[in-house]
Amino acid sequence: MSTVLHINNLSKNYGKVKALQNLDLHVEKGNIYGLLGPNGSGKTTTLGIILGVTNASSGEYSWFGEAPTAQVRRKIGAILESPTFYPYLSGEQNLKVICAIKQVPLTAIEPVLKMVNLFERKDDPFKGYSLGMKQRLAIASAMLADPSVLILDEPTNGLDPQGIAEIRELIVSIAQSGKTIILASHLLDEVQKVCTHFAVLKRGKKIYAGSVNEALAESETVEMSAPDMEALLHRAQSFTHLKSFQHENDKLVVKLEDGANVSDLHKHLIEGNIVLNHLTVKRKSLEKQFLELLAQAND
Amino acid sequence: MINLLTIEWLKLKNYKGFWILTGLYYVSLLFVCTGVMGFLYWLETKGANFQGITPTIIPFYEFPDIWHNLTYLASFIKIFLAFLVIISITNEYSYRTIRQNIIDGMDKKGFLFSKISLIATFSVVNTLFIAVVGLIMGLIFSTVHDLGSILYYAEFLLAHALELFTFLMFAFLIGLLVKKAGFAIVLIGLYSLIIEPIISVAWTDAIGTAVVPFLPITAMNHLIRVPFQRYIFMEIQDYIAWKDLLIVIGWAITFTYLSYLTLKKRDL
Repeated sequence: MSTVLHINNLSKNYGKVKALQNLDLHVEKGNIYGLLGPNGSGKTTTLGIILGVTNASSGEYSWFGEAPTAQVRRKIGAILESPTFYPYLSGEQNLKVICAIKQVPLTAIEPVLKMVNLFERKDDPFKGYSLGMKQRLAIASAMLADPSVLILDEPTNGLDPQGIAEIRELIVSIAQSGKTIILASHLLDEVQKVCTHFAVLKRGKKIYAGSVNEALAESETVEMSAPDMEALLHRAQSFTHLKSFQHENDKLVVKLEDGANVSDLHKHLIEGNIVLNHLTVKRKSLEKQFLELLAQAND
Repeated sequence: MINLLTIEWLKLKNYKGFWILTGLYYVSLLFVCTGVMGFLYWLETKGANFQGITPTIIPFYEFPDIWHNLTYLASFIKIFLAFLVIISITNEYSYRTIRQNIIDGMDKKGFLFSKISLIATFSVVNTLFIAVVGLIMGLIFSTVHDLGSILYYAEFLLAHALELFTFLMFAFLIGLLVKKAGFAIVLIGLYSLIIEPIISVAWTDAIGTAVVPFLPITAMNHLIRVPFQRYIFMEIQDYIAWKDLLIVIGWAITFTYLSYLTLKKRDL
């Protein structure tokens, strides 16, 4: 795998406010990388720096192993916060400006407008677009140069449920085409559905980074019950890969150590002649995991 | 550079407000350049005369004096062109498109050069406009039509281009610094029409006399001096002085460099 983005010890101060502190981050090719954190945690600051609009106070970053330049940014499709276009220009005219900046042929415009379903409205001025259409035009503009990396900052902000669904579908289909995506969001459901990796920021500090599957597998919980609960409790305790063990409401709830899996536990129980009448494996949602991480960081 | 000008052109091509203001400006410039004869006739009907000379015999459109006369007059309305430059930069801030331009892959130098190319285009177009209008008016009203006389004072056209470029870079810098169109327009109006002219008139001690010629607006005004006293047989400066030229070039470089620093240092 090749590194797409490498962030090394990046900090940003606004006067006394430390918006970002010693951030390290790696994004590999093909990752769908979620950047999570409450408002004001430094997500947009980070994206602003790696996109060349915010000056870092210290630290460095590289794109595709190269020093960041305007040329490199042309290979990145990015929208930060709300869609920004010239309001008096039509959708198509706005994209023409971006074609000239990114130095891609004007023929790139039609396919991206069709992709986001705006081709019929291409001649209308941007200021007349609905919020959903504006956001779709922003995605079209980000896709204009067929970038290998896409950066989206709160892409569903302020949209109605239908708009959110549309944008999410778009992101999923773009992700399936093998592009690297960096997605800043506070909608965890969104991140859980599309992301492969995520990092959590809090008050400018990274408090977690890892793959979504690992984060969720780590917290795999198994819930069991048996006609003979005493025997089950006794047998289960002898399984060596348990992280926690709790008896609650006539059910046994255990957490497994990393690397152990449910079938090993089940096999162990069968060998002890335990018959279960209930077995569920619960994966914690990213939301719970996220809140736990934030709570831990408070301590 | 061509690509940067193309980008600027695409931004403005379909911007109605911009073209209406540009159109009004050039109509005004046309009036200023062609209306002098009419103005002199009007003065005459009011019974005005300058030390015994009736206004209409003043050879305003005579080659080669015409270039000095026209470029001097034209510089009075350059402030309206400055408004257009201010709008073009402050819009980028209020729409936040400057930020998106950089994200999309322009570098800050490129952005600055795209605006400089707009300013340079304005300066060149303005100069060509005066050249063409002057040529036509001269061919109609001048008593001499030989090429030597026509081209004799053509340096005033170049000086006009430089004056305009410098003033528009000044406007650009102010627009860049304050980011708000209305505020920038008031600021440049106050400074260039009131504050600096008052300073340059009122500051008459030894230090003032030494410093005032170096102030930006004064330096630009000194580049092309008032030509009209020649019609009442007074001495005028009918050439571009090297000292004034160097000061104005110095300001042009300073405004450009300060704009670059501002863009580079500032978070967008």
